[in-house]
Amino acid sequence: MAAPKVAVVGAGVIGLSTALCIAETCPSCSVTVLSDQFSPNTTSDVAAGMLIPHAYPGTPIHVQKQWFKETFSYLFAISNSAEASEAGIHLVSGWQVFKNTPKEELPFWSDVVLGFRPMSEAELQKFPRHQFGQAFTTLKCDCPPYLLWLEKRLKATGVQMSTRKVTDLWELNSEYNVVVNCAGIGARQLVGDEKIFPVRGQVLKVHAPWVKNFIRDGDGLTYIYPGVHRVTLGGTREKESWSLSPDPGTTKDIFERCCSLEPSLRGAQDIKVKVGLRPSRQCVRLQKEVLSQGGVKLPVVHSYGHGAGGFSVHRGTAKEAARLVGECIADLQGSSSRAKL
Amino acid sequence: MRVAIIGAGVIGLSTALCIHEQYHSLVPSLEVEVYADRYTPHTTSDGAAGLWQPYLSDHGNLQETLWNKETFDYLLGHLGSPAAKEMGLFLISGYNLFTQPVPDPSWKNIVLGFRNLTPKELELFPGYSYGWFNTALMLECRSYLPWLTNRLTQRGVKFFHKKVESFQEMFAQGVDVVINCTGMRAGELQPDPELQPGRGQIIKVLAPWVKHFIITHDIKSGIYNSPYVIPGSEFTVLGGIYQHGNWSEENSAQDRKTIWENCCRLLPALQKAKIVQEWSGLRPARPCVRLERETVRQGHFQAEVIHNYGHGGFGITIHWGCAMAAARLFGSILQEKKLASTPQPRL
Repeated sequence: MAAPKVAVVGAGVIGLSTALCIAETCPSCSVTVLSDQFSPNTTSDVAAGMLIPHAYPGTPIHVQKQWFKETFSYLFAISNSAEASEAGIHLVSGWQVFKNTPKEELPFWSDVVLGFRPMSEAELQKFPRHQFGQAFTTLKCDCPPYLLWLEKRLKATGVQMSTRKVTDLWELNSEYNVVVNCAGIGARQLVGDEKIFPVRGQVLKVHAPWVKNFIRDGDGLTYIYPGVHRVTLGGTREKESWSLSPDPGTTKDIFERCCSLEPSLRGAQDIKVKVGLRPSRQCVRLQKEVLSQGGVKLPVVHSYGHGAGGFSVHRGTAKEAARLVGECIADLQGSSSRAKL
Repeated sequence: MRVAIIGAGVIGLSTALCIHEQYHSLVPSLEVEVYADRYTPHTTSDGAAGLWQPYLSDHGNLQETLWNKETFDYLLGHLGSPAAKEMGLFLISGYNLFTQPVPDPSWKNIVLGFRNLTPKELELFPGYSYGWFNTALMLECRSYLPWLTNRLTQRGVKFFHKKVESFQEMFAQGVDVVINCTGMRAGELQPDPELQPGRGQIIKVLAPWVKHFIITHDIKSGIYNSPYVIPGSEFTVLGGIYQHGNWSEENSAQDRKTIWENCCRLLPALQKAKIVQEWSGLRPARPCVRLERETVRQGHFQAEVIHNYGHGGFGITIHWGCAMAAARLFGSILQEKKLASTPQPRL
């Protein structure tokens, strides 16, 4: 096979980073990203992009930890380079605070982030309603900059990007040898996966440039994440809600909860409201599948269902997906050389 | 009872506020006035990045360490208040970097979460093998000085835009107590060979992705002669110049080059930062802060001066502790003049 043609469906953080990994590991491949939405209109653009993993109940912890470690190292190197500002990647320190001491005091990722330790009594005084906390330094990927930077890297390696709504993976069979499904919540319709469901998140993106530290309530519902230009205030976790319209009552509630953690936010300006649907699943679907119709085969690599943790593991799952694409191509080349015999 | 504060930097304005807050109700005749030839944004304080951080060593000046702590605690108490944003006050975390292990500083238990850097963190800073991480405060004078001015104006304190040529000039006008907060130019009112300029130069850039302060130290070159990066609410300050004895307030092209190259080596992402402004200023350096009373006699006439100057590169860090100490000295003057029944010096 001269130049294997790979289609990546989806242009959020998963689609773009997976396409980049494929281009990196398979230089002879011709890669095209197909999506009905590109930045700034993807789910990823709504996310704060904080590297704080969300645990998937159905994926072994050591696998999640490996994905997180790979992602953290990759972004750490970029944050330390001249490209950091263009890529929107920066270090940020802060606190995760709990109203009640959690059973698990050391999350699986505590030795991957920097400087993880319990908060001191003096630090906890800033949070009178919280009894326990953890301080650490992690990375943040600001979107759209990170997605735009990925798009730029993709174009530089010759990857094509095309606006196209794919309604059935079979559509791509005649033009592509391998399809990579990074459709996120779109996988529900695209491949009929009932196991993926939306968890609606509403956030506020505000101008409050004096906020330099992140604050996250351990319950995951209230958080303050300072980005390059805006601070993301969150949030909600509404299972099975498909609504992309901002709810004004929710906006008020998020603002109040965040102000109670960080009173200076009362002075925040220019409040923008955004909604995203986390593509949630018990476990990330990261596997090969060979679709078959009337004797014709189409190898597919699925990489979707990253829920609330897409940014935290994206590079790790992208590398694994690229490896699976390599296997698909090897299988195709194997069977085509067998066909020649 | 007329009190004139000379100087409208962070020291002058905070001392004026402290005195008015503590004594205006005890002394009905109290009139507080501020005299200065430079007001915000043209004071030395305005050029400072605003990071609360004392020098590495207090050189045995335990009094100064206490004043630093009083300032930190006072500011920390204001963090949750609605005034914080207007004051230019916010929390900030960051790094102090060294090329060799050093003893912990006097302020390790004053700041929040002080700890040593881990090996992985040190990977961020090639060339540095040891360091600290802590959370401290920023107090931006371009907001704080106007905030102090508003508080003072609300309290009826009067401001005069003039260059005071001598203490006598004030006393001749009927001022009873002069508070000397003249910083770098205190020597013009009363010679003080111990007061010397510690010239600094900075470059203000737009680098909103920088969320931590980074202060490097080179034990051989001395404090602030090694690159530092301090992100503010709008701009990020790049610095690393301390020239003892240099009175020039002109920006030096050589210093700009030094600052830019060193800071970009420290944080490569800064290469893409847009330069907004350059500034030079003179830190009013002294072996220790001069904070004391002086009785000035001329014939039968006796008047009091309280000196509060020589805060070097830690004026913002120490200002409130000094303001309170100056207010206590004022209280003892009042007591001697039997003007206040029980002055309440607050610790």
